[in-house]
Amino acid sequence: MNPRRRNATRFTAWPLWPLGNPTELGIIRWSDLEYETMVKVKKLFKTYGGKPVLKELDFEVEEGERVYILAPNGFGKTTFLKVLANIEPFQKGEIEVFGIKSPSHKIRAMISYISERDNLYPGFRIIDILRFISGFWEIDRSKFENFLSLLKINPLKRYSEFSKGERTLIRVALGLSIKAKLYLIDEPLSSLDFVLREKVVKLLGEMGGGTFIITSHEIDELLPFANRFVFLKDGKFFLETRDRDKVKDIYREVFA
Amino acid sequence: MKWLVWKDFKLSKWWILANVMIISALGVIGVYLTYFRDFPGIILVLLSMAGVLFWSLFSGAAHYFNEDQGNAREFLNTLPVQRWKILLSKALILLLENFLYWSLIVLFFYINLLKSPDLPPLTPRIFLTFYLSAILSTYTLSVISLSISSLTKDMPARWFLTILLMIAVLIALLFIPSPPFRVYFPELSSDYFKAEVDLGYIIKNLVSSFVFFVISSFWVERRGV
Repeated sequence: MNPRRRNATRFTAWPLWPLGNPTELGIIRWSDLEYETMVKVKKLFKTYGGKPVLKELDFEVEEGERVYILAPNGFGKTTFLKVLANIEPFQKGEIEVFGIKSPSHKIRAMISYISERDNLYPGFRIIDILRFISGFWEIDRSKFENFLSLLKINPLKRYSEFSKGERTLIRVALGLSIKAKLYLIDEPLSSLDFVLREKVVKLLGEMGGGTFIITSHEIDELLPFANRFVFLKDGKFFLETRDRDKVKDIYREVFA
Repeated sequence: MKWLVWKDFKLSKWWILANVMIISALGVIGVYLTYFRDFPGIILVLLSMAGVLFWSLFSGAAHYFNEDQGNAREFLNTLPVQRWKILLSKALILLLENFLYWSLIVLFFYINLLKSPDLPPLTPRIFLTFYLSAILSTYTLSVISLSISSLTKDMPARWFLTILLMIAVLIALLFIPSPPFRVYFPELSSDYFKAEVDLGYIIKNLVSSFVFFVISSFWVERRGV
């Protein structure tokens, strides 16, 4: 076996390629940001294929909150995250993230969006993807190395060589390694077996501080991670709680 | 920007290499036929010229192909850059491709011409004019194709729209006067044939592709690539 491959999970065995210097971050300095509320959404209206998905939605997130959005499939959780991440346009309303009006590439510089979809380049090696990402965001290199050894993932292998579950783990690991102000995580546990689910939860647990907005159907696993739970129905956030013990009961009552 | 170009080059290197191999193979066979079989091998070089023209119609769509396959367009939209830069990096790779392909074609064309000593000498003026005209003409088509491809993910719709718009643009350009910039070659002309290149028309085409690029840049900034 190639010794470089054998030791690949060890950071020192990687090719001596420098990571990018995210010059694009120069567009804004975090210390220059002035805002009272990190995320402020007012009367957001968004249609998808002519059908309204988000209707007059109001929402606010303070720094350090870990918000868990709960709703069944097709209620607009992913759409809401995509609108916040500046991936999808919206028709009406106002979004302010870090005091900057959306849409703006300056907002994207401070957000790490982890998609449910397999959205990375299949032909790229993991280290290539990391290199590419590091051209735009600052990467916590030691954290990523730690994640890889935790997940036992060889960064010299191509993304397409991994199983679907492993690819989800890689996306989560990459997304969490970005030094972002806000992490938007869409269904990180979907289509994973319980072993891989435990690994993702462990990765999330490794994150010290930070602001998170997360969606998932696997309530049990992610309940301890979040500290605020909001329920999305009819295109609006109509209820929220900070009491973990009540989350399942409310969910049953509202969506049953 | 550097990283976008790096990514686009990495994604399309095999595609570029395959095209280079095809053009080179046609050129080498053409030279062999001309020099050793007394057959007009230049036909094969002309064939690769037609190939590059045809390629430029669909080159933009081809550059999005890899990103469509892996849903990477969504990932591209998360990048903290103005989205016109994503288009620009692809346009730069297309320019590189155009230079590469036309350089090869011109090289084989020239080698073939050397077998015909009765032809007038190929002066730098003739060479540069035809070389640049060829590059700019196909680059115009490539940029229009790229601009259209950034608007829709549907491959057949892209091709259909590209061809439709290309025809519309060509017709519309007939009604817009070209800048008076014609290059005349007396050494290639005769009593019956006036050899000249209408660089004004080519520049007009290039400007139209730039307009398309700007429109699609505004579109992707708002809607995403």
